Amino acid sequence: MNAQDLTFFGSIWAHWLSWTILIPVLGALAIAIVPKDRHTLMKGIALVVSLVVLAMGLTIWFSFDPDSAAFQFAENMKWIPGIGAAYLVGIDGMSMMLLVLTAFLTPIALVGTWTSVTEKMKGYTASILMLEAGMIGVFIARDLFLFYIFWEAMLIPMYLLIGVWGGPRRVYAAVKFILYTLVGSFLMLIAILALYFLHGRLTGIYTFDLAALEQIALPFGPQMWLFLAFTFAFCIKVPLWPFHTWLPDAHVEAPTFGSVILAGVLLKMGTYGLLRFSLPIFPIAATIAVPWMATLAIIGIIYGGLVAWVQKDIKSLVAYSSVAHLGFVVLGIFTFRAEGLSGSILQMVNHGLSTGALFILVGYIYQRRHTREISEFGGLARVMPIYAAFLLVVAFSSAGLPGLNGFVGEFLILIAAFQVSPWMAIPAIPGIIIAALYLLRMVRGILWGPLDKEENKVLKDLNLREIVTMVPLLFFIVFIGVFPKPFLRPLEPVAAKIEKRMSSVRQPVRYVIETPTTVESEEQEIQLKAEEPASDTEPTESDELHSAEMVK
Amino acid sequence: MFEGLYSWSAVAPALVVLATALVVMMTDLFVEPGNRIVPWLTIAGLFAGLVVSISMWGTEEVAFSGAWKIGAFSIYFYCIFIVAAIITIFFSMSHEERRGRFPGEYWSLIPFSVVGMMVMASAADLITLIIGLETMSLCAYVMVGLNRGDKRSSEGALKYFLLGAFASAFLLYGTAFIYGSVITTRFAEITVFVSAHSNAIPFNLQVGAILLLVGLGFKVAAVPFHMWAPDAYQAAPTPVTGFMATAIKAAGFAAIVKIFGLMLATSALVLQDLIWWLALLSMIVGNFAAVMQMNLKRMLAYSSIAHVGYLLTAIVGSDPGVSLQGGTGVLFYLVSYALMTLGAFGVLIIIGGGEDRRETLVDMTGLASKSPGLALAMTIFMVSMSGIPPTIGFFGKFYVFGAAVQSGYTGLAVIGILTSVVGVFYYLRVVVNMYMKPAEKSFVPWRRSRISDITLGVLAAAVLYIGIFPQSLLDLARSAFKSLF
Repeated sequence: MNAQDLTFFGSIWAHWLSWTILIPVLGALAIAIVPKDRHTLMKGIALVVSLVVLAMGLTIWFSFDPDSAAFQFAENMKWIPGIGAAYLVGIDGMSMMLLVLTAFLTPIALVGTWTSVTEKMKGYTASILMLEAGMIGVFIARDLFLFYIFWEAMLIPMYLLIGVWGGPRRVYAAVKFILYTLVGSFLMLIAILALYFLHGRLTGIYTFDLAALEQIALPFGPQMWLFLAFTFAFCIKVPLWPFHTWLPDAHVEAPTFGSVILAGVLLKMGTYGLLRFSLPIFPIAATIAVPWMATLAIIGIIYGGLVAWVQKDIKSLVAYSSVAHLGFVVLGIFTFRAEGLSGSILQMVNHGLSTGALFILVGYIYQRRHTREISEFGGLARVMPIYAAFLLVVAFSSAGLPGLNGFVGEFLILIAAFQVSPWMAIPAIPGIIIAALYLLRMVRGILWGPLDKEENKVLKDLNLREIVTMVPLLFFIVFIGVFPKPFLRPLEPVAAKIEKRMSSVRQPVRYVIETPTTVESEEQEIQLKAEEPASDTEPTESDELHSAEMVK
Repeated sequence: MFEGLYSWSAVAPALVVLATALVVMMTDLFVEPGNRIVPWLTIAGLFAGLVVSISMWGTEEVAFSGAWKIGAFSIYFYCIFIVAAIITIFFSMSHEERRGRFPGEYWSLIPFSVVGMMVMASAADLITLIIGLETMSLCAYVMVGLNRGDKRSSEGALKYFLLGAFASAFLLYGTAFIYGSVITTRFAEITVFVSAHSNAIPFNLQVGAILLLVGLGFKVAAVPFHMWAPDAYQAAPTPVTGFMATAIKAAGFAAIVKIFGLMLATSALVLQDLIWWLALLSMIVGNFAAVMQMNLKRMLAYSSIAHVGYLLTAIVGSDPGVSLQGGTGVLFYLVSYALMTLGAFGVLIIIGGGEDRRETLVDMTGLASKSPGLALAMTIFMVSMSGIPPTIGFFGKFYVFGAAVQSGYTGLAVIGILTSVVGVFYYLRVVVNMYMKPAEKSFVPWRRSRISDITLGVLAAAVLYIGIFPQSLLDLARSAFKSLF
């Protein structure tokens, strides 16, 4: 189909990605003018809009060229030429996966929590749609400034979701969530500015275009500082141990929808940021950071698992299990090997599916019993057989049982880690066993055992709506586990690209930039001179100059 | 030197506003108290002044033997002053409906003070600047003390007056020192002198510059010269507080940009280090002290001190010869700050109806369910003040911190951005109270006035729109700053 032939459809298709952001925003505006007490109508609008976005996400999936590492569906529009920021969007395999995950989880979480929120429906549904728009924006932005706008703008709807519709300690959790995130992202803002001016000074071009920023070899000192600032922001979001303490609070207090999206999509923004920014822009610093990041990731895997093991509240158990799972993802990222990288991205999707499903399932029994204490349940398999089947499969998937999705990602990550160093892989392996322990403890506590509580004897099994919500999740949990190929294929070019970028600086080489700062033409090349690391232990003069500028 | 000795067109905008003030003052004598004709007449006059100002965009004229210069820079500031004044009058009218009438002279005090600000914005001479500053300040002292029966109001006004007079003395003294070493008070000539002697700045000039900094620091309430601000802000009627926080602060920064961003912007002066400290202390003290405040007017007073710190961050080390970013950033930020602050005070005015003063955090509880539109507007203003996108406050902060990073003051920018995390805490506490807590008091339902509703709506829309599409305002700010050279 030629875009020029069908001008109307063609112009929409040319801005297909933008529409995936605009449609939820328009939906939120439509909800704003709906009369206050038409709750079903508002939920209906939110559902229809999110289904439209899902349909758009699926068209993207099917018309996406999985063998290309280039950014597809790219759009480039003038935005703020005064500072060199442009409206640049586009997706590669990683962005595409996460976009589809977002579009997939939003309607599911909405249906899954259809009856759990009954008040202030207008704000609730509008926040959901604004949140969806913000999350998609984060994954498709290719301009650092645009990325930052989305990165922070989606905080406000999430903050409201936790703070207004959350549990008893919701205000505390919401404020903690936003302050933790902002400490990191405000520092990242300064780092973005420093990177912008550094790039401008080195090349004469002031731009936030990620593709251009990736090109320059930053001097050693600034590279370390900027890497730290970016990575700090992403690590808080992941959250990597020891920056994780906001997560259990936010998860426990958030309404079910919030928990699902928080675990399913928001945490991935951190690991996405590591892959998209921290690694390609600061390859030398990232290489130096490998032992540190791997150590933190492994501590997170073990610590998260052990703490999850002793939780009484199901939601905080799942929350700590997220710390452990995301630890695996970070471990895979810092292998810098194609298998590890694509395993990590796949594991992000897997975690979104299985943890999202877990939170929805927790929400189901919470709505019936208004408690999440494991000790309050027991023997539910007898009264809720369908529920029991779902919970069992999802728990196995989360534990990484072969044949289900979690296994594929963890396996790839561990293989890559082994290739780098056994020391990177072996300490992480107990994490898998611990995961099985705490998940089985949860399953035993809820499903098996004596059915000794009167309230539990009369629990109704899942209704049709609830089953319908779970089926697509379960489908993909099994599908990815049995046949991961279609999901790994679009990730391979991305992983290969990052691996190539990282292996080009596997040896810690320092670059000295000899170009004078007064450069006008875009074609001007930066002369790079690689120096032998051994012969140059002292920072060179220009390094010192730049780092002095940075830390002044 | 003598070009345009009596150029009336160069002072036309100021004259229109001055005439407005006089006409309004006279009209007030002949109509019965409370007649709405008076505020509307003020608005009409100010609007005429705005039209005249805008029509002169792009022209540049020097008058009165070089003591007065009108150009894009002045007109940019004229627009800030006049728009802030018009919005203040809108809010004052709806304030009157709730809290009783303002005395008739109030309506003429606003344009009178605007005249003073306009003189400051177009001054090309230290003496002219001080005349304008005094005109503006005298009106402000009176307006702060308008609640005559209220002891707190009198206290705030007196404090403001005494410290303001003190600050004026510093300014005059500094001017004297500068005159003593340069033998001129013209900005252009001082600039030439400073760049010619940049490796051997006379001691007297250093002292004079520091005294000017202290005087202007008082006027814009930079720490440690901020003591008067919280009391004066709380004492003044809320519309006046909004006016003080925006227009008067903008006028102060018009002077600061001219003097410290341009005339004395050389690293040969010890001044740069002092501004660095002023910026740092303002950001830290402003943000941390605001956390303790339960009264929203006091909270916004401290928050305005913090914003002064952000603005000074852009001035520190900004060398207009190298980059326009610092000055442009200040000009952009002043507009963004004016829009969101006027909006926040507007919401306070609407809430603070009736006899009880509803201006504390507790009074905001449950606002979201009582008046969702108002709560949404306040949320937008608070998010913008926190510097979270997609709002104008974010872009302003981005730009001023960018200026600091560009001129190598990354450390200051890092500290500043960390203190603004504290800022997020207290701004969002307002949102917490509005949305996440049930109403603690039962409100007497307030009368909504359409004027203030529309004004708030426009302000909120502007905060969002310019936040997403800042380019045109950025262009204006840049050409305004460029016109100074």
